[in-house]
Amino acid sequence: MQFVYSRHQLDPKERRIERFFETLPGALSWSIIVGMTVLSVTNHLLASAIMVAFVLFWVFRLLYMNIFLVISYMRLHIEKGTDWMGLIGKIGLPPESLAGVDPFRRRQIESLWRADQHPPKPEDLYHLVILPVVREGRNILEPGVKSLVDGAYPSQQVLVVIALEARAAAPVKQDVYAIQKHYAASFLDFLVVEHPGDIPGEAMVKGANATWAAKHAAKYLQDKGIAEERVIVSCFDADTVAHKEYLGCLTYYFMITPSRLRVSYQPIPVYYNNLWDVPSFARILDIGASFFQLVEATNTEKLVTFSSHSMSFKALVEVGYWPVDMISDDSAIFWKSFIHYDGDYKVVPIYTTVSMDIASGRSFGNTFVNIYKQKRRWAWGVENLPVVLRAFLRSKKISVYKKLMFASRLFDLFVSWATWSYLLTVITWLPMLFAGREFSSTTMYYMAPRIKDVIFGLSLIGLVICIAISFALLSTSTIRQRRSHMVLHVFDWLAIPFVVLLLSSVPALDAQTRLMLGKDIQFRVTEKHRNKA
Amino acid sequence: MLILRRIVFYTFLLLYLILCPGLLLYASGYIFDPLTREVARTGLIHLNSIPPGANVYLERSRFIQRTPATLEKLYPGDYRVTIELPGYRMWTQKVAVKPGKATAFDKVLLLPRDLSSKEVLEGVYKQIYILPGTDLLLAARSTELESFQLYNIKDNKAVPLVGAGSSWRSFSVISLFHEDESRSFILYGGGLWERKYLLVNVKGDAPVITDITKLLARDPLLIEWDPLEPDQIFAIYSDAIDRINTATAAVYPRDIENVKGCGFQNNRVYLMTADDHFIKYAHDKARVEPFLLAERFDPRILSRKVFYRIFAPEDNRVFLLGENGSLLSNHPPYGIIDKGVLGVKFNDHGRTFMSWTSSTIAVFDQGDEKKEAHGGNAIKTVFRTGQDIRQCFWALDASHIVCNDNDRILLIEVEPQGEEHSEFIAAVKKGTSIFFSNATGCVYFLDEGSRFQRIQLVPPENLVQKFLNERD
Repeated sequence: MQFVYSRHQLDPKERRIERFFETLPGALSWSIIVGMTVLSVTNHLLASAIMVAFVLFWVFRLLYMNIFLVISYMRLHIEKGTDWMGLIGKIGLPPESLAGVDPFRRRQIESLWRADQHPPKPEDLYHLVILPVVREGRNILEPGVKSLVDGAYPSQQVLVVIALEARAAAPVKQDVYAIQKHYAASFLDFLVVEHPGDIPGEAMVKGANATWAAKHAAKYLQDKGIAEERVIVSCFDADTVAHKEYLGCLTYYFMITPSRLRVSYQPIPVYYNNLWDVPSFARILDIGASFFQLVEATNTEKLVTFSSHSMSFKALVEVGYWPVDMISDDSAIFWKSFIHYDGDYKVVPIYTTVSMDIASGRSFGNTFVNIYKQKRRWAWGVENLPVVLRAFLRSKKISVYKKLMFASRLFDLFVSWATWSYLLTVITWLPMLFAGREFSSTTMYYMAPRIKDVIFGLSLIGLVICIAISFALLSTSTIRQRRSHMVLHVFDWLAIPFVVLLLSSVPALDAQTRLMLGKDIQFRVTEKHRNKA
Repeated sequence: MLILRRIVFYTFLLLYLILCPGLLLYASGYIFDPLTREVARTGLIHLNSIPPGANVYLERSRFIQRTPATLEKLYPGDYRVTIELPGYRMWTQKVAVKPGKATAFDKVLLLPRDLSSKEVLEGVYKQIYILPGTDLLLAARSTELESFQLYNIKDNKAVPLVGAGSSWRSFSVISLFHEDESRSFILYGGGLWERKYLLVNVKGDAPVITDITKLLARDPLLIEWDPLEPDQIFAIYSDAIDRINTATAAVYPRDIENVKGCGFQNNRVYLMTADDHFIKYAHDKARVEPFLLAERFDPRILSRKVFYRIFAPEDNRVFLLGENGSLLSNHPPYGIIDKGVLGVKFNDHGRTFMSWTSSTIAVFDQGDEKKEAHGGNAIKTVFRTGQDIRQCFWALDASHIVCNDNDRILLIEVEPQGEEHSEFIAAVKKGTSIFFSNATGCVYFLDEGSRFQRIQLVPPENLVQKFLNERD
């Protein structure tokens, strides 16, 4: 479907439609918050009943998510020991040659054989890894580059492109070129592409930088005679450290997926690079983000790309690269592809990790502010919602089921993000706080808090599961940790209601309010610090 | 995985659709009775005692829960509820349980069986004078000022009101004027032919006494002032009000004329004019503004001959206490009590107040939203069997009233849903005052043997230590 994704290039009628959709998430979130606050003061009985129903709904959803968190973690744990390079070599072989392959993988490979599908040979596949850089120094960038060299996948099949902003400071540029010089021989090639900051129609966003680099890479690949469909592009953050099996795992999934060119590949993001160098509130939020992705990985029907991920380079070129004027390039590229291919595009989870830095600052307060701004940027992903709704309105080929499913998913995601924490930590107590004599003489006044206490008690099961999975994930990571860290980590989790309210719900509401009022947020490169390089 | 997700999702959805209405019905009092196989709507009783941990009995059955306890799933009907704690007086109430309703007794104050009193100051006293809203009391062995002790409740210390060299030592006190929360008071007394008004300021340790007799043209009916402006006093006469600045000794004779009522609160002078209009202004009269324009009093209930004291907890909510003992409000019911009201006391920032006559105590709760929806006041008579009620004090966050009724100290519960409930505390010397301090939880009085005593009614752990802002 031919569709103008950028809102800056719309005709007035389309712009008005999109403007209307832009107001919806914020209006809905504010309606819930204000409506429940007013109801808590004016009709305590009704508010209290709604809150009992909501808290029960919340705990069911929490437990539901916990079930899939455990399943997803188990799958991550099982797949951790997989010899992906060995498996890649077996794809395309007849079933009788698959002796010793575990039954799950065997079925995957056999189904490909039976369908008479012939994936590209591994030696014909190339990886393009784009690393956008604007202010990250060598200590941030180099571990990610090194992880590609040290990985199990042959690095000579990997083209690394550093997408360097021309406005980057001289020391940053020096670091980038030093890394290029040091690692160039290890890869198929190592390009540094400087992105000028004055291209019309572009905003100062990561997507513009990555697009500029990808266009250069396309020309390079064309010159080398490498077809786009044989290239898998991974757009990472500068601090992303891929697991040593990442490219192998990605290649395997690329090969066994029949519609491989219309699929994005989503790894599990973890934030371990500087885990013990940041305050607990920063740590707990990003572990929560990893958990969310673990749970989402089990929901392949509704999965949307997030942060560092990979896709077919051919698809990237066909859809017109990343949006150059949107902040949330990671999810926007999925929606752009989904709309471009009329709904025939999906995300496949890959059970391997990419590790990144947790946003931090030079002081406690600075860290708090940086994290707030980072979470607001994440929540700015809501900017995709009006675009997607506009596309759904126009598209006749995307099925109604998919339209409803994704529209409801987007509303659910963003509205719950902005409101639930407030409802749970504040509103739930308001009817009791403002109770007049009439309400306080009802059974609801006494029973509702007791019921909610029991439900909140049940939610502790979820908390215990989260703590256990958190420990399990940490124990399998390569980061060094002291016993004191682990004790501290238990206490990290106890602060989660307040941390989520202040550093997740409020930024989300901030983002939705800005979108509702027609204000932008500036893309701001998140500050990240590590005590050790 | 998608199939598993759907199975789990629909299982959870089904569970939710069953559990959620069930929980809401349960919270609303509905239960399924397996014996009758019918759904019944029940009520509950909530009990919280001070001190907690008391046994709870419903009729003759003892509950496993101790206070605070919620007795739920009770079929509608009347129940006898009893609370017992070893060493304390038994508390019992007949409670009507209604479907879907909760009957709450949030602050059942259990009194020790042995309510022993402690002597506050040694010796025999003739009278105690109370200074509500402060941490001070005056204890007098005789009418002469030299026998007056200024007792500080907070420090539990007493100092003579006048020093050894004071010329006022032999001043004979007849009466005392005081405003709640003011650390000043005016003593009236002296010889038969040379009556005097002494202003006593207790700002530091040593009280300062000033003779203000010359500032008063004649004997006023009342002397009032705003505790927030203690230097400005108002001498109220039958035909006018003089304003007196005690700091500068300036007198403004007939400063206020042709008024039917006045009140001095919140840094404002509130006046009711002869034609039943209401005005207010700051003490400097910089801006005189009308108020109660929309919510003015029904002229039919106002008497032409009665002088009213104005109580204005809020600008749109005013109460008038007539010199004939009538209590009026500008909200329904307008004529709250026709006659006989001896006093009113506000609590909870003016949202709740009580009034008393010689035989009844009524509580007015303006926070009742059902009544308030019609702009009215919720009124409940909490005590009807008084013999000669002279003083009342709020106790324990307005959940109780301590009163002096015919020289008996009574503790009365302010329970909106229970029966009238009062406990005898002690007998007091005939014709003397009592004082209850929310800061110490003690009632202060002269016993029948004229000894200055105190009894701890509220356990110290349940006290809010707000000595300076104490509102009694």
